Amino acid sequence: MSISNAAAVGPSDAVVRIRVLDANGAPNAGAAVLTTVLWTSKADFERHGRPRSVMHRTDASGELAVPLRLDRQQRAAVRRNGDWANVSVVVFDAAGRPVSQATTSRYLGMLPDNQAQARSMPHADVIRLVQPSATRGVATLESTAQAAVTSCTYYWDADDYSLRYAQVGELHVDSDVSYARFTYGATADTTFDVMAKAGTQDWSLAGGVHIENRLANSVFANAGGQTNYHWALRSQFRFVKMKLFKDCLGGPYRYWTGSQYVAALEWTGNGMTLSNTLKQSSRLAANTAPYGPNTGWTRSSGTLVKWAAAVSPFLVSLGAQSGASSNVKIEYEFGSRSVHYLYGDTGLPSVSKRVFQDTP
Amino acid sequence: VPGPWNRERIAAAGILLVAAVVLGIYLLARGPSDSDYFGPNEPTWVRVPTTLGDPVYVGILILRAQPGHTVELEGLVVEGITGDAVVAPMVRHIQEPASVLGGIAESDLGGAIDLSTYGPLAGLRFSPADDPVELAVRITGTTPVHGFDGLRLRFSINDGEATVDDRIPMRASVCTGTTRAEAVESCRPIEAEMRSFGL
Repeated sequence: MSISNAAAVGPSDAVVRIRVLDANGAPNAGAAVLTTVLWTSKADFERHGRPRSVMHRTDASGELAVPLRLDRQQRAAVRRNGDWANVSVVVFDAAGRPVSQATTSRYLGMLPDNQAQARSMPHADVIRLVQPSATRGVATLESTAQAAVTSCTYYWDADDYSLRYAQVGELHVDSDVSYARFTYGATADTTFDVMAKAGTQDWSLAGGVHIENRLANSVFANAGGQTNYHWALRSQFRFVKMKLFKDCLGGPYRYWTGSQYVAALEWTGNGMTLSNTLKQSSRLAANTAPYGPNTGWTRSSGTLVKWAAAVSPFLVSLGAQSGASSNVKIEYEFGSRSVHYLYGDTGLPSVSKRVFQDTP
Repeated sequence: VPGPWNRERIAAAGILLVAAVVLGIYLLARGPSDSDYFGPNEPTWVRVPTTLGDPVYVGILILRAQPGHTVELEGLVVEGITGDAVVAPMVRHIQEPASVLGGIAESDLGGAIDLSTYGPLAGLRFSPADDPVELAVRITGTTPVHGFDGLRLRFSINDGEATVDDRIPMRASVCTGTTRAEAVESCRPIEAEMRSFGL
């Protein structure tokens, strides 16, 4: 169902399937699981406060199917993000402590490109999380957990924001190219890693969120007339550090549980290229196609290419991948030399993850 | 009527017969199934200026059969012909390393690619053990701009076990003139269209 046409209250827009296992891979029945549909802009936090969460329990086979029933404000936030809902899932241990978390996106719209992209999202099918096994005194611990989880309200809230430039594309020109351009937007199209940690643990990958809000203008790298140009296109995004708090009956209130994550929140625009930061990979004949004088070539979307450590907000490195929708475009117009090569790293330029140019 | 052929049974048999005929007509009419067998293919657009009478060659795809399959190419359906374009598919097995066609007029090819190594598409069979197959087209025409808006590659798998259509969202525009400079001028409107393509 397209959320654009949906009523404010009605059937669920998507179902998030969750499976909780113990450390030995056995199903964990009755595990407490918190799900949260995340806001998609800083303005959402300022207008509506913290994102809304719901606590559930897994069934006898350790599974849970959570229908995403969006209220009016959540629906508007998801619509502004191109019909992508970003969702956090947290599992609590037998003592009521958050022990495992994941973040994913569900596409609720009707565009086939985006539906295909959604199938490659982290945790696209079932979110599998591990809850360490309770050993001795299971009954006591579980009743403690029941008490902890039922007497406290758990919620994510924004702790800090950060504006950072993240890589969203690249452009390569060797020579005799009259026009070359990599365009991103005016609707964003990037899936960012989400990194999470609990207590003193190291940051670890917890999934991804998809950013697809629209701005007035696109950003681009333009290399017409240049030679030996191998630039990354970076654009600015807002990132958020989220912390998991709890309010308990009789206190404490807004008590930080130790869990946190860092994720992209929204594209804020502005393009910035970094000089010759990239290297052109060597040219394989089988991935190379020649183009004659004054020819032109355009590709209006691309297979997802992932840039590791594309951005580091809050000293945490996040990878990013862009390019599945027609919001990303690459163009070449060649000069008068008789042959110009376009080549890819994983195939011909029409199917490759990355596109390079070489003029013999 | 007593016995096996009473009125109800005859009516039921008639209904089943009609249903079978309708199903058969449907199966015959629906044609090959859509697929992404050789994909995913991204929307691309190539434009090539050339002088009148100088054919243009455009590379389309590299084809590889999937494990356990023998693929037989049946035909290439050209969609959205513009101008008076005549689009002729051509294929060859490529032994790596070998250059493949991009978008180039015959007069610019030099000796880089031997056009005599290409053959007709229909009837070419290949399996995973064979060298990859390069699919390209030869475009000829006389109108200032001619070409196509998309392609459908029709093929069968394992001797007709399945007949499949793979849509290739590729556009090609050839611009002609009596001189190359005139051909480049013919391409100006296409240049503007390509810059707004997709966004």
